[in-house]
Amino acid sequence: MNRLSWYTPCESTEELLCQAGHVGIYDGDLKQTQFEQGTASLTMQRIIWADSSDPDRRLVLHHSLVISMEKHHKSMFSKGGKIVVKLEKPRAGNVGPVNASQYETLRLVFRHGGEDDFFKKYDDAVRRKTWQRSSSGSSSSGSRASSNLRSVGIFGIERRIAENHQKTHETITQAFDDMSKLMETAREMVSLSKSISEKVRARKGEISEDETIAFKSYLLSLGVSDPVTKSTFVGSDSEYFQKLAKEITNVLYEHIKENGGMCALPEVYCRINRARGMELLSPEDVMHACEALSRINSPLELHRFASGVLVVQLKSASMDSTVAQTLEVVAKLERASANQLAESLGVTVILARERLLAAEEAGLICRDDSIEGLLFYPNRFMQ
Amino acid sequence: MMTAFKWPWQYDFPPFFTIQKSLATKDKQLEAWARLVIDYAQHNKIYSLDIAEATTSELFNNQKLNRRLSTDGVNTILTYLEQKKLIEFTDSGRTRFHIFWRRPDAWASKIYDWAVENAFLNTPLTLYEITHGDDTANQSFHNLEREILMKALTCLEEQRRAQLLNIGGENEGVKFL
Repeated sequence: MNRLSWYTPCESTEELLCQAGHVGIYDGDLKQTQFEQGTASLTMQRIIWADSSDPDRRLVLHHSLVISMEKHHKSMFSKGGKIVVKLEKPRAGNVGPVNASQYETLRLVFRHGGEDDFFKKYDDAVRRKTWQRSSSGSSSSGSRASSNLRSVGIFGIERRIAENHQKTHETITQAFDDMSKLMETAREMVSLSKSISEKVRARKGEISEDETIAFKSYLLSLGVSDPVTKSTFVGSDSEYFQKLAKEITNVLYEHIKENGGMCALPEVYCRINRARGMELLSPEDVMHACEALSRINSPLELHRFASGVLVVQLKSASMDSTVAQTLEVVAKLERASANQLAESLGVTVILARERLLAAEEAGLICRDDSIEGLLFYPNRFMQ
Repeated sequence: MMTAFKWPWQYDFPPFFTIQKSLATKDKQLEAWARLVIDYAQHNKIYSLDIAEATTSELFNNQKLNRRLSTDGVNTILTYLEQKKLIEFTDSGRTRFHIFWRRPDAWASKIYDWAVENAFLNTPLTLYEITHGDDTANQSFHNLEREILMKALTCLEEQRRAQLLNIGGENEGVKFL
């Protein structure tokens, strides 16, 4: 109870996240309280409780004091759903209604329900720790002063760079945390990626190797800094897909060339989206873009195997030559399974299988389906 | 004394025991199987076979390679042989079949040639004499199965070169004309 303080207006604007009526605040396990009935309002920084009988009697519980919280559902014997909040030691100079308490916890009792929603938003607000950024109040001024004290000279600069890195890193990690967060931070990410790439361009040679590596790793996770987006090509789908096809060619050409001249469509999809990092493409768009490969004179092309599996492959590696190459490898190994072929060609097993089936279709190899698995031999029947 | 059967190279080629997916390859494979089945039957003087028996015989099982043709595979080959009129199922359940490593009309001319050479024309002969008699010990149709013999003789009868006698009776016979 001694963590509660009397209400004072916040310096920054507060946004109301959630409100619940008929809420009582109880200390620890006690069944009695002076704050039996009131309205609890949740903001990003704190909970404000206003007494129902005397609206000017308002209490505040700041989020920075919260260590953990748990929700107790309404049971047969209790009056309502509860949120039990575990709190840190009270701050010195706290002005509140109660000055001493033997408990480390507070109970918020929701007599008329609403605890589920409140709990979710409360938990979220506490996790975000927005008060650390926005408040310049008494709570953080102490630590800020001490960090300023040390932030002088080269050490200070280094320290600031490290802090910036840390922040950037957190932003990236957070962004990939889940889609909703990604959407929230997308704008931030674009400007971030641009500023990073500009920094690298501007200070080429001047920055240390470690920094370059760090920047590069960020760029790698961010991928293409200036992605082709559908909104920039309003109306003309085909032009959009052709641009996209060009982007796919740029991103994948080297990879495909080094890995057996072929890449299954799902892998294309993953790679292009990984490279973009944001402004993700839908599977349909990727497929249409791959179809557009043939229209832009790209060294890559889309190929459909007889089984329906779609791949993007080098134009130079047209089917005839891959079939011949497959036969060559099979002949060299005397007999080959899809796995063995995948190993010796450096392609995925699915692709190796497709190649074997294509070569079989062409009558160059024949199958041996036994308990040892599906093996392929050079087709001696046709000789 | 019989010489050991000479297996074709395909018999030692593992893919032989998997029915091929590619049509052109499958054609070649079935052709090879058909020849093997006929050659094997001829070499071992097999006139008819039981499917269950055939499936487990060395013909469809290469123990050295540890490969065997599946029941489906055996059926595919038998269907192919049937289409080529090289075998004929003897019952509607398709469990037994005759193997014609020589077509009944080929048997017919063999038997007729033998009868002409040995001056048996216009002489009644029992069926037993033809397939198990001392006179035919060196002939290829010695030990020929009765049903195939009957087919051959029916053939000759249609060509008016033979007349069947007392079929179904005690002393079944034939008279070559």
